[in-house]
Amino acid sequence: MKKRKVLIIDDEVAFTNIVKLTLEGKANYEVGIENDPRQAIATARKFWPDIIILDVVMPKLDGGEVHTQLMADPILKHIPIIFLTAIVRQKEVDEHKGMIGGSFYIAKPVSAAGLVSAIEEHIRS
Amino acid sequence: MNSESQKLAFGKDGFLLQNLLQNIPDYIYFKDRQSRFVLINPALARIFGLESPEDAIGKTDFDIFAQEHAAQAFADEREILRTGMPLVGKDEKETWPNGTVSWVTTTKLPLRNKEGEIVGTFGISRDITERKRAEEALKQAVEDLQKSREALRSAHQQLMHAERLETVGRMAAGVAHEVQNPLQILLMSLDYLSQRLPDRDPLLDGVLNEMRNATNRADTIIRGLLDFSRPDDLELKAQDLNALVNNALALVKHPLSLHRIELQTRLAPELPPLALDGMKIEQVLVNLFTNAIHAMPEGGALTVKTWAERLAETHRDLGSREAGHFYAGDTVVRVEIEDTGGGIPPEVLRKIFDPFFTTQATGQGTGLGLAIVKRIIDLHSGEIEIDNRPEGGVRCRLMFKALESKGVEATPRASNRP
Repeated sequence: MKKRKVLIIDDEVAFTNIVKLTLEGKANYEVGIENDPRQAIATARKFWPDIIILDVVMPKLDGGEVHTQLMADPILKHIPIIFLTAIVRQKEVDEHKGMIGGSFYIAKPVSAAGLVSAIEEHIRS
Repeated sequence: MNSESQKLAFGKDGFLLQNLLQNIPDYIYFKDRQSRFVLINPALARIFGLESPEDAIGKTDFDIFAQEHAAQAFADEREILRTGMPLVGKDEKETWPNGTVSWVTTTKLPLRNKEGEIVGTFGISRDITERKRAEEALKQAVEDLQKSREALRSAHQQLMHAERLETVGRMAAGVAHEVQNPLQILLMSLDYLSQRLPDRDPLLDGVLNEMRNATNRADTIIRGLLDFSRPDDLELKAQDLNALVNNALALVKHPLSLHRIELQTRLAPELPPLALDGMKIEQVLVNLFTNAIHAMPEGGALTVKTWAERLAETHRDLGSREAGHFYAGDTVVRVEIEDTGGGIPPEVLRKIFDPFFTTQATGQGTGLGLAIVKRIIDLHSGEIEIDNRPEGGVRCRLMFKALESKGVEATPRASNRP
């Protein structure tokens, strides 16, 4: 069975490492990591993920700009994106059923189960 | 006094005394033992509105003044007749039948005959109405000045408080964001460790649980900080406050029964609608109910009342930069929450809305609950007051401006309340 490929773009190295350990340890995931948002497009083109987990507040290039670049790319624009960020509260996410401004959001901190559940809901079939 | 002078003063024509009585602007009078005038000077006759001093003979103060002053003067004269002691330099408030008031300073003495027996009283009074008015005006000015000073001090304190809250709010938002990332790593790492430990060791499981609880506690504090720093995204809709009260009460039903607290609700029907963020006001009410429950660990009574009224006077929050003013004539809806707990010490009451101020043990409260409550109420341009009830326990009052009135009484009276 083909593994689902998840690319996580977040400047927090320890966080991306534990997400990789968690998801790859659970089951059917292959996780790519990019801690430098300026390399996000190049990494995405190389890794060709089924879904992208994207932080918002990052130095040098924020998640919004990364999102714009991804949407401008004719190939990458079809990949579903989940924003995983501390700038929204879970209460806000719940109130808007996850969709804020046309994008899907998860509030930090999220449990491993919560993250897997969101990935499964939005992953490209 | 030599014999010539005595003749002038007390002789047949009483030249000196006549001059004194006729011309002195002060009021001079002689009364018999029944306090009836036997002699008054022309100055007093003029002030009594009499054509001549003789018209006063046989009259008493009750014929001239209003009851209030006449009774007091009569009592004073009774005392002089009884004791023989003079009354010196007393400031008297004279009330007249038409309601006007004048002031005199008066000295009254016993009137004795040649044998030394007291046969009446006599006295001299000087009008000091102008001086009294000036004193009253000065006193009023000092009081007004003190009130203005108090208001200014209160406004200054509230502005300082608001500045501090804003600073804390900005800082809180920054800190919360930065802390949530490491918390995220901790939570996910704990999940990972829990699943990857090869053998289930109860001791290790216990340690992991403690770590998870501590992390969750930190997360709760961070969420509180974020609530405190960003409660301003209100979703205002026309709301029935009674429905919000009932929803909030449903959420604390279990702790109420756990602590054997009797709930008494007196919610006025047909309240006018209010523009409120329903979820946030429920959050406020749950917080206030929970505080009341914590104040009654051994049981007690929680009373919740709502009612509408039309304000008789303006409430102006001097230090507020929000539009949180209520004006006379505004229709408002009030909520009153009372407990029968131990009350709040005055030194605590002063700081009750300060962020991070808590009387609970470490880990039991973030100290943000009432700060958030106050912030939410301020954002609704409402008013919150918390004080101790004279009969014990705490009373919390909330007030919101109504969207429309529904035949609400103009004057708030206790009987209007449910």
